[in-house]
Amino acid sequence: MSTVVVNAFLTLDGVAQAPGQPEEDRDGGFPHGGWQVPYFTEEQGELVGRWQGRAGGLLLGRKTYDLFAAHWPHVPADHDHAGIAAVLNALPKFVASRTATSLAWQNSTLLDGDVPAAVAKLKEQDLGELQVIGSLDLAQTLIRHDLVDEYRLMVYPLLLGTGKRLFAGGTVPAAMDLVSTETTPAGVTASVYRRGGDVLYGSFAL
Amino acid sequence: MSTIAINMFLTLDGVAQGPGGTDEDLDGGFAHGGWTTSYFTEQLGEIIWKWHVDPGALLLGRRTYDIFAGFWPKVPADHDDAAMARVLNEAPKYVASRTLDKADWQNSTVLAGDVVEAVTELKKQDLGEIQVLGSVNLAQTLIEHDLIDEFRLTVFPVVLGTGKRLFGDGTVPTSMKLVSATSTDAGVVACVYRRAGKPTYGSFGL
Repeated sequence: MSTVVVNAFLTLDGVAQAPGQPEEDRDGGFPHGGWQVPYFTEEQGELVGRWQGRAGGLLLGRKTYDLFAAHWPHVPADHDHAGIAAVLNALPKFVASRTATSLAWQNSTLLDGDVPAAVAKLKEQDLGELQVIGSLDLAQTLIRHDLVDEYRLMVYPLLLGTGKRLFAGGTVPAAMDLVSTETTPAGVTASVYRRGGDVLYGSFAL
Repeated sequence: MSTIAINMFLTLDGVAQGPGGTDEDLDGGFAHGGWTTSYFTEQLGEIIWKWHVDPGALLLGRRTYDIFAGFWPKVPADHDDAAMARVLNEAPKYVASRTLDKADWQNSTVLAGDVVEAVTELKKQDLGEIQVLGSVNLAQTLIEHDLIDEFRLTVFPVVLGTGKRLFGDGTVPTSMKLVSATSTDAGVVACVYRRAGKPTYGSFGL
């Protein structure tokens, strides 16, 4: 059995669109791309590196795959990011795409057909942690089908008011277990949640 | 000058509706009321107590006001919540309501007319910290008009997928400073954010 882990960058109001650069995702005319950059510290880089170091495979949407495939195979061996590049290049990559996409990046496989069904099948194999990185539309699809076992959420101290949210309509009600939480000097909180059982309800009364 | 602080319970997906009881707020057919109660530990009570102690004034929406006015004045002197009851009973209270004529709970004043204007006027007075408790509709209005100075957000480890969110579509883009973050054994994360300025953006060279 494998587990599906979503690593996501979020604003305080839950927006996950285009954290890393202005042109990353302009869907809906989103004008706030690149909002995470001023907060990205060395501490956070280390944390992200640690999280990604646990990956047994990557689950990527087409847009994120294309960005990654154009970047990571070309990082020079003496670059600061050579270590993470080596990790990402070597990992098996599963790409959710309805349109034809080049799979030139090493160890890439197309998930064709029904993505939730394909991911459910992958979960039956022993691939370790299948990490969803970026790939917001794919993450939302997996959340709607209750296929996510763990969330690693980095919440940035800002509000945007517009943009795609990670937890959109269709999120299946679920309780979680908080595994850990830490903060960075720039005010980012990094929390790990594991899927628990059903939500319990009650009422305060005298 | 006074400051406005919002103390709010949120789910991991940002929902703020009906935290304390199944029938608290059924707007939109909300079926998940009472999602905080199973996580309410002594540790969380202590965090919240520190936030509430000695408010300059309370600012409440009509629904929260009615719930509180029906609860806190009746708490017996030997009850676990007696100290909190004393704080809330004695604090000056402002109720945003278009329909309420008078407010019977001690020290209550009805803010009739335009709530944004009324709150802007209150902020000019020296009331100390004006706390918004519950009152998600009122909180949304204040957020849309950029009137909040501090957010105290208690995030419970559940996702619900439906319900009113604290940060709706009219949220003004704002950067914040994380003042503190504390987690409880039950997996609740309590964060305090203070308003900082406008967001800034950058670009990762991917």
